[in-house]
Amino acid sequence: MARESILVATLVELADNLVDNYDVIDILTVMSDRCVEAIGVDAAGVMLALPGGELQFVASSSESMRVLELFQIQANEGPCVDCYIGGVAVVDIALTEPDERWPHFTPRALAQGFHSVHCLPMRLRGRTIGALNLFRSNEGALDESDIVVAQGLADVATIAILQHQTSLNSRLLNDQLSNALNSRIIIEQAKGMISQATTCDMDQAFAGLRAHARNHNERLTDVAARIVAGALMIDDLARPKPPLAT
Amino acid sequence: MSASTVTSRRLLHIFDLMALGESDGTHGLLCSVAAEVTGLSGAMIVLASSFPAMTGYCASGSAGPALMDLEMTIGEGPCVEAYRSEIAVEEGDLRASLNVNWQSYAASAVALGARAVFGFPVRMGTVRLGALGLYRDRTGPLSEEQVTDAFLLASVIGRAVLTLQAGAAPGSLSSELLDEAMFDFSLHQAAGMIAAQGEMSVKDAIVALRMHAFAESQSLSDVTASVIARHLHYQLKGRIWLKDSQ
Repeated sequence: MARESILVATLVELADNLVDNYDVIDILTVMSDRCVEAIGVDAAGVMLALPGGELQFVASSSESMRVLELFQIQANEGPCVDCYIGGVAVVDIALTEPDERWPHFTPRALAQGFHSVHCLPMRLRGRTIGALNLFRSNEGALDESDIVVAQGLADVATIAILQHQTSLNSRLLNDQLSNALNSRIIIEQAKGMISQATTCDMDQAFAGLRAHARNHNERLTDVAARIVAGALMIDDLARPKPPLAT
Repeated sequence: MSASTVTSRRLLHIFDLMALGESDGTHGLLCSVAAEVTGLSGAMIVLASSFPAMTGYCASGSAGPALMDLEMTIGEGPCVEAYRSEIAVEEGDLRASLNVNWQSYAASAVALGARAVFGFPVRMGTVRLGALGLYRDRTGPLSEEQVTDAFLLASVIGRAVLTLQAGAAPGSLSSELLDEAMFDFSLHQAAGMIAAQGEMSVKDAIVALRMHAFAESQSLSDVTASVIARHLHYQLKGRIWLKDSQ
């Protein structure tokens, strides 16, 4: 290998590793800090669901014990649990005593000087993976625009986490992707051949392909592949199965 | 600032733009994000497939779709080379290109308005998915920061594509991937039609379509559209192309 390409290859490896091992906690911490700056809340943090569904604290804008404690309590109860289970935003919650919803969480939050709390779900394509939690010392609603910003940040965090998880099974997934792409290509080619041979449009060609696959209990891709390879004549396509001999 | 914090910040910026686009439901989001993050004129993403060896996934920028089309037509260019060689490719001045691998590409790309092109392999570890191409309407190399961003983008793109495809039925592209991608399978429909007209294999038909597009200085997508609309035919006898007089 030439000297230059070794250098470039090393650089690529380096960049890959930087990303493969990127610190998701670091990213979520930077994001929590950004919530505090952009929305003017007093503390922000991220809770993620464990495989069993229990919430786990992962990152916060503050390392002070008074804040961390509030996240720990929410493994069991609190606005984040409600937000996560419902998959919807739980915002503008004024904390007042006594609180029947969260008998443990509310008194601790008040004792630490927080009077309102907001939670935004971390969702992507219908799946909720956790919640972004915001605390404020004063009561009152968040502006509509602040909620939009916060939900945007929650979406960023979701992508960061899902990106991180994808490192598993990349070969398997890539094989599936190539297979799917190649299947799709071959089906489109067969559609073109059928469309030409029978002077029908592409939708009708696809319907013919599918009818044949169904009637003969074959996979659509296999039928398409045989047509493209010339092993199945278009004239023989979509003929209903001969009736069983009686 | 440590190297990992810089990476986190750059990644966060990428995720930020992705989240923004995700909520807008943008098509070809990954390409528009790639162009925006690097500040270049546009981007292309191609995925590996069996035949043809690469399939366009998306393109952005005013010349992006035509550049991707060109690369798929003649089978050479920054994406093809980055994918094949597995290293980054940089051509800071297409008009003075000494790259022997893409003489035809360089001339046509300049005519489309590109002055500099760059290619980065899209991989996850040793798994090769495809390539990210970037272009600019001015000459000049990429800055160190742009190179870093492009490598990060390439990793993010690989993960994003696999994440989108995860959970799809075997042999099928997921609806999430199809929603985000700008796949154009019309080449394959047209190739099927030409294969039937010219009694040749679909592979040969793809080559014939490409050669015709190149010889007529037309984009491949214009040629395939004419074939599908049945305005352009391939006559078996004499092996010539016939165009409807209009």
